[in-house]
Amino acid sequence: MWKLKKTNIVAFSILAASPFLIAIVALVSVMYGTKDISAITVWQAIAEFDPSNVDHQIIRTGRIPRIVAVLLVGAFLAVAGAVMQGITRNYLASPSLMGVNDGSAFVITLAIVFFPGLPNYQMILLSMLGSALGAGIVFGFGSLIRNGLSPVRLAIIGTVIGTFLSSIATAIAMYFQVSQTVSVWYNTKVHMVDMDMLMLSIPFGLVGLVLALLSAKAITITSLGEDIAIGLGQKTKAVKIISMLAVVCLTGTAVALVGKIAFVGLVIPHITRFLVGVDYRFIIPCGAVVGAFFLALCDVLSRFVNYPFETPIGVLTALVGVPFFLYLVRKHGGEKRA
Amino acid sequence: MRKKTSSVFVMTVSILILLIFGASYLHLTNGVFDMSVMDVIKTLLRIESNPKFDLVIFEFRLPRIIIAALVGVGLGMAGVVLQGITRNGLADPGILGINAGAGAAVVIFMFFFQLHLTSADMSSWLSILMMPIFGFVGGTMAAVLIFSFALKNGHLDMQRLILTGIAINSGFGALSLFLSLKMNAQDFEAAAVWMAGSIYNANWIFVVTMLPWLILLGFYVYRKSYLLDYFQLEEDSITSLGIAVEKEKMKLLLAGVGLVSACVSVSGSIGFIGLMAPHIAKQLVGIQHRYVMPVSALIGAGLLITADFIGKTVFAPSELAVGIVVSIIGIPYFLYLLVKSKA
Amino acid sequence: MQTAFRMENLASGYEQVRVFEGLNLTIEEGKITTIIGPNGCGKSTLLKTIGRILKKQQGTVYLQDQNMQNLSTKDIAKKLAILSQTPIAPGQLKVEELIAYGRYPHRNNVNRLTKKDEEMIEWALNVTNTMEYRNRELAQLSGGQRQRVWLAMALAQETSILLLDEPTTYLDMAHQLEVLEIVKNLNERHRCTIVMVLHDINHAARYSDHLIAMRQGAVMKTGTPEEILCADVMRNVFNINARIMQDPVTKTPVCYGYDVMKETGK
Repeated sequence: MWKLKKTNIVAFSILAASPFLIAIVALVSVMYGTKDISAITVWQAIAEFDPSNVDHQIIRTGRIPRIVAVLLVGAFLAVAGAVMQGITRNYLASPSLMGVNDGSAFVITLAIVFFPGLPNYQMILLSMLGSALGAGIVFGFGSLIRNGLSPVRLAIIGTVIGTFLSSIATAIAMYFQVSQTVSVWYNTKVHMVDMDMLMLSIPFGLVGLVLALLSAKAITITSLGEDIAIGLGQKTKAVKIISMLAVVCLTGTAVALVGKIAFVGLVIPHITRFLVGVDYRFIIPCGAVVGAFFLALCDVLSRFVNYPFETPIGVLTALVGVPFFLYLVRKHGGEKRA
Repeated sequence: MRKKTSSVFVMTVSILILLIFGASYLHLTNGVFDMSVMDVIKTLLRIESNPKFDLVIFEFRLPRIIIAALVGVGLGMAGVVLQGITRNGLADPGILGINAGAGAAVVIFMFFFQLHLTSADMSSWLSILMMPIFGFVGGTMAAVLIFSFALKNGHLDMQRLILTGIAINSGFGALSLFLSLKMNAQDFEAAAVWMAGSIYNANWIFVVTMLPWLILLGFYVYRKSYLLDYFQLEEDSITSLGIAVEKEKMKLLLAGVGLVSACVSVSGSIGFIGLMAPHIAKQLVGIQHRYVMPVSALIGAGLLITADFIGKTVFAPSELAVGIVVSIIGIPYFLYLLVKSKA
Repeated sequence: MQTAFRMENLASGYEQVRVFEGLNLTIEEGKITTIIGPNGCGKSTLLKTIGRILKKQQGTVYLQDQNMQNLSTKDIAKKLAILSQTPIAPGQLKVEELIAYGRYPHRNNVNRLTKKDEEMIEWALNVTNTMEYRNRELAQLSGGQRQRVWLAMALAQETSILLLDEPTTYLDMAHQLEVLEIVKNLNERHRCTIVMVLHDINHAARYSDHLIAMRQGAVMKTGTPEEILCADVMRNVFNINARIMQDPVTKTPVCYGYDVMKETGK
């Protein structure tokens, strides 16, 4: 069976360093913002909470939920992207390019318009349904078109269907006169994280992560090629279903929590693969760490790029993501695999 | 054989013009402000002028229809040029990110000139005239980026082209968003609406801004449309015939980008017209570009007027930006073309 | 006799690859010259370079004693026409319309055909025996018919020199000869200078006045078919032991069988 030839030092170092990296970036994120708060105050807010202290309130209700959400979403999206890329053997597979994020947002919009006031856990479930819907439509179309499942084609279809879904969502919102509420949902809302939603997203997202980790070995085999996978006796259908479930859990939770964030699911898996190799048993955990760190970094920067105003986090992920995407396209063109 | 095509052409053009008048009529006579058909006609013919009616017709509705028509014409023609140059039926200035590039440049312009988009005094008048030029620079930059990324061994790789377009769209879109957020609230609102692709704020200044460009570039592109016939052959054959392929393609491309930029500068990013209009035109009048070009222009105009009309009425009292209406129609059409295409 | 082409120190290739360099060659006017050689020897590259489809990297090409660099591409198009290996055109285009494209270098008004234009189109249709499908769409033609139509387009260009890049490669035996007979006719009756690249050395021998044999970017030998189709040259150029005889009907040399040369010293 699978035996490692040599220990993956890079992977283990990343995992070992992760608590520190994340602690540092989290601390920075909480300390600095429109109002700078000292580290001591932060500690006090956690350990010796004083409800009348304004700073403590900011930390507890605003900044800590925000950084936690950002870390979680970064990890979720990165892992979702990694799983997608592994299963589809498509170097461009990612929640934002394949209509998954857009599907979520679309269903959420419908929910807000037609069933306002739904409890949060139902919103998350609907969001997951939306992810599945988005992916289903995109891959469905891909299989209708000749060569439609090639990376480039699929990315085109994904983007186009994503735009379509968001156009329809906008139209519906406008028709029912709820466009204000919807646009709030639609654009990323890292600065307005709902505590209750945050608490819920932990178990939901965790399910996704666990599913992903469990299928990691199978994903590695699948990523080597369909024929190889079948030849090795793998139940490819089962693997695909479980992985898609993982993706749906992860992206559904992410979108429900903070809205659509692009490029994380595309870029992080590639970087992680570059660092730790092609074994998904390493890519998934390390990807989660790298993703969390990356998004947290973007979040910190988003507060300072245009001080004292906030920049939508999507702008920062695009700043990294777009050149990276172009580089990928230039390098791989229409190839099936990366 | 030639005769048959030209009579089909004349017939098609006439029908299209009628349809455009029909759509314009609907647009003109419907809206939030209630006016009867007689009122509209009287106002247009300047019989019994009523200042309120005048305002609605001449300040709101008429410029809006005219801009929709002009932008439709520009995008329709630009689409023919792009599809001819890239030899790909899926090329569209919106998909390729040229819209986004031009749009970002215009947002930069808005940002630096702190422009209030509806005022009409002299200084802002002059600066508004600058918008298409800014747009052109932005659009050209986007085009340069896209084509240089998509060149593979000197050949234009179609897949890469569209993919790069997607990236450029995201990139410039993010840039526009970033800049728009730095604006003050009033400008931001206007910019946000504009970025979605709308003709909501149409006024005569806009018409004046883009009209000269449209006429100049439109004429140029029409006169050179025969080259697009030749571009359907592959490079070697075209070179053999003595056409300086690179140079001519570049000139046409720049003209196309210019057309797109002029349109984007007054209406924001509207995609898919440049995709649909050429296809429909080719279905109607065949593949000779001297027929396809004007027909595509007319179809573009008709589509946009109709889309604007839908956006205005179906969602009353609010308005759905015309760019979104066009996307809702255009994307299924794009997917249909994708399914049908052989490449 | 004026040369059609004279090349001095010519070097050419693609982006990072140089296919040949230091080439010195002349091609005579009024004759059929064929370039032969194994795959990758540079014969297509050479043809495309003298046809200015490929940009030369070094050296000079003289077209009818004029430096090609000083001629505009339209002027060149009035003197030479090239038929490339895999031409593409939209399937709905009609035969006559495609051939009309060939008139481009001579046209002043792109929207109307002059009498001369129409004459040349008629002539092209005639010479290539494509008159009967002048109104058919390209997609409806067979491979052989389509190749003749492409040839007609090149002919409509009304040039004294014709370059053909493997005009017979995708055709069946009968259609291959059909095309070559048209080419021969053009040369004999209309004194067209023909330069072609052919894969089949027997066809090359049968239909050419002059052969250029290339291998790995170098010209190994030039001469008449008799001089080129001989055992030594075949060995050096194609790495084969060829058996040559004279075709009793056409009186041209023919290779009726060959074996691959064994590796020496193994």
